[in-house]
Amino acid sequence: MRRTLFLASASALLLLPPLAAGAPLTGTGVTAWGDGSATRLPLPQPAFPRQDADYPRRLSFTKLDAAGKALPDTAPAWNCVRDNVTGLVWEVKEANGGLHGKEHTYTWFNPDERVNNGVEGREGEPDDITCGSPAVVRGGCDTMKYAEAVNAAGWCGYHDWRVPTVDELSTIVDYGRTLPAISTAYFPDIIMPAGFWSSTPSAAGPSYAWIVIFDDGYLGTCVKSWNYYLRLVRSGKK
Amino acid sequence: MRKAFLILVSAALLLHAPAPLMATQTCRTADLPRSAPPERYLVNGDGTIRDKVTGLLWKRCSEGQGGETCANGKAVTYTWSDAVAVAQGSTFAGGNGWRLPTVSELATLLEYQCTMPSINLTVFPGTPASNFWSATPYAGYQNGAWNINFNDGVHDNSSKNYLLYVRLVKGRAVDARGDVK
Repeated sequence: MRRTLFLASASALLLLPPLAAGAPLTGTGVTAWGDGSATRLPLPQPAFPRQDADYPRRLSFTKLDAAGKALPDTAPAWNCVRDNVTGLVWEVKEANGGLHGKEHTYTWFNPDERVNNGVEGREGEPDDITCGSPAVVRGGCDTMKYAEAVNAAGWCGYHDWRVPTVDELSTIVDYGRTLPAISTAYFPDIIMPAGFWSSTPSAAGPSYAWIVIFDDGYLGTCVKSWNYYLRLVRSGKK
Repeated sequence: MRKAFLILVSAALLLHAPAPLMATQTCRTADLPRSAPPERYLVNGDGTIRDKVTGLLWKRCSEGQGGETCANGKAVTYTWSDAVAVAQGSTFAGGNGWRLPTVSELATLLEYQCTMPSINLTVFPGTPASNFWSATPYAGYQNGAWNINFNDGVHDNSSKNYLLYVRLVKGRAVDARGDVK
């Protein structure tokens, strides 16, 4: 009887659907322990068991070159980063301007009424100057036009870049550090305050969408007409 | 005249002050996709919930609550240290191993379609629309830890001395970072 129950639950687990594309669950990157007051202790705390650091969940990234080929960790230059846990491939921004300039910001814009929660946000205009001057994105500096421009040009060999969902964007937060809360060995492109757009609209108000602030990993919402950074993502499948 | 107006306004504010506590859940069902649909969960008879996507086992009720609809008792708030101790001491549903969720695990409970609270209330009834502790320490200052506000889903950090709600979890996530070589 007990065995039957076990088999039943085991088969229930086997029948689990794969992780939804929008909701990968990852570790937090935390490798230190806390007690009643401290937060960065080097050893496990028996009185405060079962913390993040008690489970080995390290960040695992691979650098990719302009053609999407994997590079060794020691490579001095790379264009994209693959997350080996989620399979997602992330855009790395450019230090010296260009289409992918790390200092560029965009307003949230999505005219698709099926997914924009009733408010399309602020459409970029040709005289926008927040994403390169002279303009490198045709039509203006909004999230949709930027993704279109990157897909037209291609990046790391891919043409299926998109704005990440908030669940996806939060998977590259490294909660084990701050200023910034991301692995700078793979993402050396953070300018703080580092608010980055997600594609996820806010249920709290149709004029808002979710952002991740990579200074420390804060997740919140902001008005779609504001300017924030944008790191595009694509799914792992070729 | 202005004074009378101010008094009226203050009186109105006072009358409305408790409203957030009694607010009913708002879901934008026509405009936003569901992130936590009921088919995602296996509701067990012992007060536990299996998330079929992550594989994690959750307590249906917030700590302090009990019963089928979590209507028995009242959700209780704890300091972070007390929350860890509550998890460590729990023998709920015949087993130990209960713990505070990491901030990433806690975030998988969020129903991004809804606010007040941002969770599937059919599966997790009685969830306070308020801050819940995660186990994740805050790396930015001593004595900090991460929490998620289930009023709207915001992730923020606070002093471990704050009094926040607790939902316990058990098991390892199926896609825990680092398990993939």
